Amino acid sequence: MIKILTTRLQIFFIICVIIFIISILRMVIKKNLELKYSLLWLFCAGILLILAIFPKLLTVISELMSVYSEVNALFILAFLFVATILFSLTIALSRSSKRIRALTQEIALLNKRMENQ
Amino acid sequence: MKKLIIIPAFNEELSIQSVVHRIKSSCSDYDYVIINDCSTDNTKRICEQNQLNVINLPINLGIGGAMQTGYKYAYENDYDFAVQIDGDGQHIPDYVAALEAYLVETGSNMVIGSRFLKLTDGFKSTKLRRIGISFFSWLIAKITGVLITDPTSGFRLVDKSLISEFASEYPSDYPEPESVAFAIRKGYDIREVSVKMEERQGGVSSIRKLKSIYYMVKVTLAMLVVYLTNFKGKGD
Repeated sequence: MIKILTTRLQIFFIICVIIFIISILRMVIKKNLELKYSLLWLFCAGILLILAIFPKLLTVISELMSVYSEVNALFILAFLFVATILFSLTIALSRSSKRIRALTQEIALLNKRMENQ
Repeated sequence: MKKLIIIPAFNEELSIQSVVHRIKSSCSDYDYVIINDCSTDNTKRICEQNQLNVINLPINLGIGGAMQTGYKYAYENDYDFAVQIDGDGQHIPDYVAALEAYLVETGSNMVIGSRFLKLTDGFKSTKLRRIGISFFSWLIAKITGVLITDPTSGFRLVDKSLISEFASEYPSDYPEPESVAFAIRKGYDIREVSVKMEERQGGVSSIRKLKSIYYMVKVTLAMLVVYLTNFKGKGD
């Protein structure tokens, strides 16, 4: 019988993901990380955890993706997750810079109003 | 006693005048301030034309940011009590006196106007929202041991200690349930009084059905964070 993931690899993944999830939660609790932006990380880490615990699911997914090796499928998935998170951060950054611009202009105009008084 | 009513408003051109008018007649011993959350309609112009006391936020912060602005204003101006009354007309100002009386009588720090404390008529929100509300009620009870029947109600009166607490820290998205859990965990005394509310008088609610799932997940996780946070020393 061919093992989908060697047991050692499986345990390695599970431990890594659990440590990662705990680190995220600790940072959110300490207010070093905004809960809103950690949600996607937690969601992706959760899915990776489920896949690492039930590697048979990975077989299904790798068949869907037409990838020969399940481990490759796992890494492709992880890469897609990271790319999604990066993109969402790019969107958040764009929004933030727009708001900073509006604030800057407001302050400048406020200063002007105070000068004129 | 300095008493303030904070009116967060986003695109409430249709209701803001009547809300202020009703407040002026039922709560004459209260000052008020409208927090205009960067509305895109005529809210700002209506406030200016009628010389209403308003703070105009330069960017949209959402209900959490807007209310925190109100609490900062209350703190800066040394108010003893602050009440939230939404700009959409759902909260009935006539109940403010009851909220205040109960707070003084019990020595509590916050009194929430609850739609579900007693069986009354009056608008009780949609069925879907009510399921969500009872879920949060249960969750808060699990986390804090205190039963709050209407944790999503924004109609709440706080005293000076919570004004100062919320001025420095207040959740930004969907703040109502999380702020209650946070306050209880920090050692504050939170109570409820039975009120009725009106249906929204025009305008659109800022929480649409599609966002509801995100809301539920996010607030639940935020509660988990509150539960896991170790609060050393009460701020009271």
